[in-house]
Amino acid sequence: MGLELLLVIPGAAFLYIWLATDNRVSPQRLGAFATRQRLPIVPANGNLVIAYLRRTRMWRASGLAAGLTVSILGAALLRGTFGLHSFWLTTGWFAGVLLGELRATRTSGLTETSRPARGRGFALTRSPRLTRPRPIALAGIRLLSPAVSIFRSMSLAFAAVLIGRTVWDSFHGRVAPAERLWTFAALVVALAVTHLHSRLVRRPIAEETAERVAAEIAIRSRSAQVLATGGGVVMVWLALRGGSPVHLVGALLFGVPYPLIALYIGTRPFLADRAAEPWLPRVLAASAAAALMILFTLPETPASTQAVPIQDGSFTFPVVHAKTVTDVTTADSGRRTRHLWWVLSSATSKEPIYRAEGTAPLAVSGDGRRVAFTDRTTRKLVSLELGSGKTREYDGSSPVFSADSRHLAFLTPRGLHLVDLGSGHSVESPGLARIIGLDQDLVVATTHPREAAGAADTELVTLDHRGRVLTRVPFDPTLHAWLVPGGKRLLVLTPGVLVTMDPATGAVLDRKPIKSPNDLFEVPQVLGWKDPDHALIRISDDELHLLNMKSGKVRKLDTVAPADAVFAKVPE
Amino acid sequence: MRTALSLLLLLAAAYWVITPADTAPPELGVPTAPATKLTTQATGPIEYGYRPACQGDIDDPKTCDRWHLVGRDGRRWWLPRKTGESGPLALSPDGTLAAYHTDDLVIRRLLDGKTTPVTPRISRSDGDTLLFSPDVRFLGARSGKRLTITDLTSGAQHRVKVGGDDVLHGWTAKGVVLTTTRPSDKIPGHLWATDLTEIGPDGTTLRRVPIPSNLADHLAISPDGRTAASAMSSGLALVDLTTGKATRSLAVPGLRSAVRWLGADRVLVRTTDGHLVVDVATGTTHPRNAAPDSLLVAEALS
Repeated sequence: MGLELLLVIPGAAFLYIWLATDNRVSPQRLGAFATRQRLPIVPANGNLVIAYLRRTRMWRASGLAAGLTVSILGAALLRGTFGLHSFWLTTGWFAGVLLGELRATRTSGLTETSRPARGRGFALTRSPRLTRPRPIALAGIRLLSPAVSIFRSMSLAFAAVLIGRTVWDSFHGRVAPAERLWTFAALVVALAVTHLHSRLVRRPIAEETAERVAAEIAIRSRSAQVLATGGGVVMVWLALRGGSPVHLVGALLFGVPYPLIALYIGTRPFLADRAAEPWLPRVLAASAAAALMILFTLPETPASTQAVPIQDGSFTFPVVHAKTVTDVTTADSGRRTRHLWWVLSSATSKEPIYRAEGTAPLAVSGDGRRVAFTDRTTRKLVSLELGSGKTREYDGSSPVFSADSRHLAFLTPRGLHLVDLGSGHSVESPGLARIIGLDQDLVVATTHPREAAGAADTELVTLDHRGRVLTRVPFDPTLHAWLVPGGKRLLVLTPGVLVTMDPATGAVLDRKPIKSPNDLFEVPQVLGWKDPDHALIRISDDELHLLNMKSGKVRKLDTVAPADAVFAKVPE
Repeated sequence: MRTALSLLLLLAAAYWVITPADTAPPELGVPTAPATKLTTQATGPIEYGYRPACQGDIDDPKTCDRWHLVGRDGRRWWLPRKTGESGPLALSPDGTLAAYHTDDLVIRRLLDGKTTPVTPRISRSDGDTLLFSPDVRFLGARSGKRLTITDLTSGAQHRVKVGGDDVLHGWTAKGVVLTTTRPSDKIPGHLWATDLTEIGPDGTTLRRVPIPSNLADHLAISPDGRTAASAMSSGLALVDLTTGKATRSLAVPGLRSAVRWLGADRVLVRTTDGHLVVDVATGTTHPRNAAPDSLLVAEALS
């Protein structure tokens, strides 16, 4: 890194000094100006153009060199790498453009320093108050080519939407100080470009020979073109750094194509003429740009939920597990949308057997024939019977199926609801806030949610399927507990110890260390059951293990599953 | 007119930039005001001290390996901390003494800069805890399975054997309080039992009270030793240390920990939004401006 800096910094310094002090204007550059502005260079106006090119070259080159230095030093000091960042190069160059134009208001050859004549009518207006040289108002002269004019309007609209979005975000959430500064810089550039363009149009020209007046108009047209194209790119880039969420298509559009478009249209030949600048195309372009940018910055809308059997119901039960998968689709418009699917896998099928949009279902019944999930649109809790496709909707959360799939329990703000999925009959048990487990004739729950640490006692409650409370005992709400199939025991896990507890009395029945090949730093999570003595547990990441409750031994399974997978049957 | 409007817009934007509507918290690990190294003496008692919450591979080690001290006059100081070590810092309640590890456990008189090693030497281990008594006469130092109580006036030391997982919570007017948690099958619905023990400066056990194990993680003991405040996710639980029962709970949104009692009825707590003082008599809270970027607030908050 040090070697690159040793080479680059003197090089950048030399470039800066050379660009800033070299006063030569090559014939090619003069010719390019004449071509772009369609201006015949004659002895009468040649010096005027040369002086303009010399001045702008000095400022723009100085800005470019400054941007180059910032880019290299920034990359070296902040990331320890060598970097040439187009953002800094372009921004530095455009800072030079702005400074050059600001200076030009005082130094350009044919500028009349008196107050400009008002009004938009185009005429080489003579001011009766002045003697020599007499000012000429430029109002009405078209300094921008139609393409650049539209580009300028669109850039202002893009930047306005981005700036507005960041300001809006700042009142509804956090916008980092750096993002505010970038947004402020974008506003400064937008105002500076607008202001300088206005001055180019309104500043009067001293009445001189036709060749020199034509040269001055060409010079101003060139300045206006550069301000509009370069400024358009820089203001949008700065505004994009304000942190607005811009979709990938938007980010790609403004990355490389946008400056290339600006470069192309800004260097096309154009003769500033007396044609009136039509306002309708500009307004339409700005409106379209604003609408497009609003579209780019809108949050991605969730897709509707619709369960779709992949294999037309011909799959084999039971379901092994359900999990979330993600894919990205690209519409004809180029807009990319991220989809969340949940898929069901079967013990007998390698391919997923069922899928629906949304995040993974919250529960799968023990026989693998029912899943419960939250509908992304209605936010209702949906119980879906996979074979028939029948659904039932509830207002609730945290669903738990009984092992025989005949009952579904879930929580509401009022308490626990227990639904007989056969008859549809439900009972409510108020005051319960956590479901420990559900068995054929027993529900185990607590009166408060599980707490991470530091919490007063809750009550462990057992109920029958009619909602009648059978027992209540004090319970530590920080415990990780699951009801063992059969309903006679709770399995309570800590990072290294396996405990069984009587759900009716809270008494500890058994306590033994967990013999795991992995060090246990966190509490293993029970995902399902193979039988009453073997629990499917997740110790870390995607790995699944089988815990033998009699011996405490842990055996790793070949199956892996993501964190949100839920299981109906233990995979083997 | 257009120029005036542009200037007005720029002024409004500048105001927007410099006065964020939703002020972000200070960057982690960066003191909120310039701090200077405490080489000789502080200008006054220290209000509180903290260790910055740093991400080791991101933040500047020079800033992270320091104890930051904030004086009651608002001035900030820092003391060097051994790189990579997480030894504790204790500040006396009157803000004039600091105890911390260099090579040895030392006590620094903050107002005159004099540093004295604690002798006989106290060995170090992970999870050391240091606590000054309310009258600044004793320093309790738990290191491994040993609690050492040093009389700062006479230099006498009393050593008490404690459990390796015992937690030192604070001092009452009579002695230092610690809790011992062990597996137990005796309490229905619980896997552990916790005893709270008060040990006098001479190393004698003054009392032992069973308390709920699920409320024993981070206790703040009242000066009279009658009540312990325990932080729950839903609020502050008050445990009667005579009966060992939780008697009341006070709703404190975003509660993270109970720091210490500031008198008979006020408890300083740390929440997700900063520090609050909870009046346990009325249940009211009011903000306490202290170390929003702290990982660990040491003692000495008056």
